[in-house]
Amino acid sequence: MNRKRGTSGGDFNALLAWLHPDRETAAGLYEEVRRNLIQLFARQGCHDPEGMADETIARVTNKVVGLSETFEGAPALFFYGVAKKQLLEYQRQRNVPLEPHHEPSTLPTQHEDQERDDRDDRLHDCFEQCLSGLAADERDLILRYYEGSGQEKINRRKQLAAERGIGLNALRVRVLRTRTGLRACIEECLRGGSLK
Amino acid sequence: MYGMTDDVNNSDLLLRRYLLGGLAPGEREQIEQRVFIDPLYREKVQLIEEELVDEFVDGNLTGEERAAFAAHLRVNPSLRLDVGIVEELKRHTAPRPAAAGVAEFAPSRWAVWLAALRRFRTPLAVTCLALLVGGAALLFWRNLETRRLEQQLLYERARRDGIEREVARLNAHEGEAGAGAALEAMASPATRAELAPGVSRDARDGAAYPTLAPPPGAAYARLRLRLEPAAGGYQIYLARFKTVDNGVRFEADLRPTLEDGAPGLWVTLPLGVLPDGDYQIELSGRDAAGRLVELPEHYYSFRIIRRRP
Repeated sequence: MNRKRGTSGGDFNALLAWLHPDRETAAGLYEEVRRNLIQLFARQGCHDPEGMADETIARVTNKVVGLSETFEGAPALFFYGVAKKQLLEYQRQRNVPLEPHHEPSTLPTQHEDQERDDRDDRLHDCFEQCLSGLAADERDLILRYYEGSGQEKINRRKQLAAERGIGLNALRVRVLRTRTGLRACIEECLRGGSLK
Repeated sequence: MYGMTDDVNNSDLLLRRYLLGGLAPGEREQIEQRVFIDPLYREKVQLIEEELVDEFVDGNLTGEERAAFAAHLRVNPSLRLDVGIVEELKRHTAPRPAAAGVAEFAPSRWAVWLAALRRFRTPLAVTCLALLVGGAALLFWRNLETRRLEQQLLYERARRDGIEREVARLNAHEGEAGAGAALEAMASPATRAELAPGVSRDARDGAAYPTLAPPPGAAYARLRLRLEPAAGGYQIYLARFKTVDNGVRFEADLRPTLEDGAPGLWVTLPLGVLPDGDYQIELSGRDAAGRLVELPEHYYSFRIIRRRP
């Protein structure tokens, strides 16, 4: 479980208790809230979504002692409310609108190209490593799911779903979960440089 | 999309608009709040987002959607990672040999090439690649063209050799009984002329060149070169046919004959090696030892202008 920098153990325990009386369930809810916050900040184009999510959690944690008695409703919504205020502050500080602009595209500089190539190379290495870490069935599923394009791809996905005796939506959910796991592994690899 | 109900489709469209930044703030907040409290709804949003990423990578978004998606992509590293992963997945599958039973879904050769070309994205690399491809194409074309021209040259040489052998054979028999009559029958008035020596070397004096006007397809022409007493009494003469820039196009050993008591040389010209233009003929006598003796007074000029079909 990620833990906000600078929060005391006591406050954090109070936060978990506020989320749910059962500590394990609370830990799961905490992770879920954190993922949602990161996603929210990322979709708004914030430069450091994880840092901002941790900041939101820290602000909530600092108020948690009184919250359990004063706030009514799903705790996750309180996090959302704090996050929205934070987004407004971010907007004011950077003097940029929250929604991304449809700016005319500009040609990348050679330096940016080089950076992107390096990033692509690292992503490629991490991808290969994490893909090989998947169970054979999951690997086969995700590779076949993304194979081809157009009608060919649709037919392939129908065939995949039929082979597994599930509907297309269930197939999409299964692939999404596999890809979420793959993505988590890749993120970890990119962060920590855990390449062999 | 996959046979869903209208409600679901409407909901999907709403989420697509949300993810592409096309919703009013109120609608956007409703969706965001629901994402925070409803895990299944969050998963649905993720599915729609995955669909957009997939369509973006495949180039299936509309122009407006693509622009909106690209705008998000510029500021959202998380989305860039999603796109990167889907690109890797597609790249990984592109060169894979088709598995049994799905051979009909094998990736096209173009997909493999496009995946390989993705590695060449910087302007410098693109320029170098374009120069390489252009250079290779030019070399290939030049090689083909050179081969074609070499073949044509070989063919033309063979044809010319054949003609010259034939003309040499005909000219060698000039003066023999019966040969002249047979050759005369081949030549029409348009391909036959009699030349007197010393006629205007370069038409400076305004005199008209004797002109041969062979019809299309004519292979030979016949010339009668008159011999003056200064020509001596050689058994064999060498006639050199030159262009105005002094290039030798043709030469032949000729035997003198008498016609109406006047000496002269019949020469058969291979029209295949003599294009339209002005020609001069230099005459030399070959003595008994085989040496050539120049006859500067025996200088003939003529012109060839083919008739158009």
